[in-house]
Amino acid sequence: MAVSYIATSLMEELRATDLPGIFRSLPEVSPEPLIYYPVTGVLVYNFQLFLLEKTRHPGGVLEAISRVLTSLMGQIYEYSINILTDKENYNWKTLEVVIGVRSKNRKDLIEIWRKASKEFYSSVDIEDRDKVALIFEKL
Amino acid sequence: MFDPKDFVELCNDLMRFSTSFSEAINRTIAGRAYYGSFLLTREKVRALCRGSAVERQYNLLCDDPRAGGLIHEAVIRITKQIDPFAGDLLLSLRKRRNRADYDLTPFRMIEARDAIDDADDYIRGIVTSFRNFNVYYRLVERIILEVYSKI
Repeated sequence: MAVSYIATSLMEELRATDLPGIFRSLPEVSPEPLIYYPVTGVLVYNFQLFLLEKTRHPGGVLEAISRVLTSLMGQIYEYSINILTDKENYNWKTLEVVIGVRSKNRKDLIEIWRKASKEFYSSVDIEDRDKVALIFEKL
Repeated sequence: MFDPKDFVELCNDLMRFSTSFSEAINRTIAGRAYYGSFLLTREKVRALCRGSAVERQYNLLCDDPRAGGLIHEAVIRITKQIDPFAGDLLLSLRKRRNRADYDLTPFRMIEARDAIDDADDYIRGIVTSFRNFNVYYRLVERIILEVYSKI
């Protein structure tokens, strides 16, 4: 699947989370795994749960994710968005964007990671920085 | 006083160490690479919080057994406020360390190598980033109090 399609699709799904009243209609917190699968849109439901816990508006973070994914078109190989829970502290959760990149060496990977990080965090509310993680992996 | 950077230096020696327990070595490297980076930062923050309104709470997170692993959360979240790229490197090191210590699926040499590289990059960058600590003090204070309230 083309990255542009994934990014567009992601954006459409993420926009849906902004619909007024949607938070009120959410059921009780579900114990289901909090993993995003781009096509099925499973995350849309689970992502709202995350936001519900944090009681924060998602707009800035979601648009920043979409922008970074779009700008990485051509280099990106795969990505996933998960809720990362620490093994030794289950109350500590972070929205984690894992981006797998085909790169020849570590220097390239770090350069892409640093650039994407700068772009990403510059458009995220400073108070939300510690709630999101952008992790790059060499494929 | 022990210098946590020695843990990262040790990792390079361990990479060359010849043993039949190679996977155990890979896992040990991932653990020491994280702890070298984490401890270095923990102590930097401790020094910078000395005399501040949250000194007592931060010291308790560091030293009191009741705090459990909460200090890891505090240190990584503080780092992310000051330098998001460094914070993500430290989080990546922690993820890898957790995998090395808890997940028994194969842990490869490349993962150990990545841990050393991440720790090297992290330590190099953090020295400069923390010069701006005072700019972020209010946010750091908020994180310390938030994590402290979990005890």
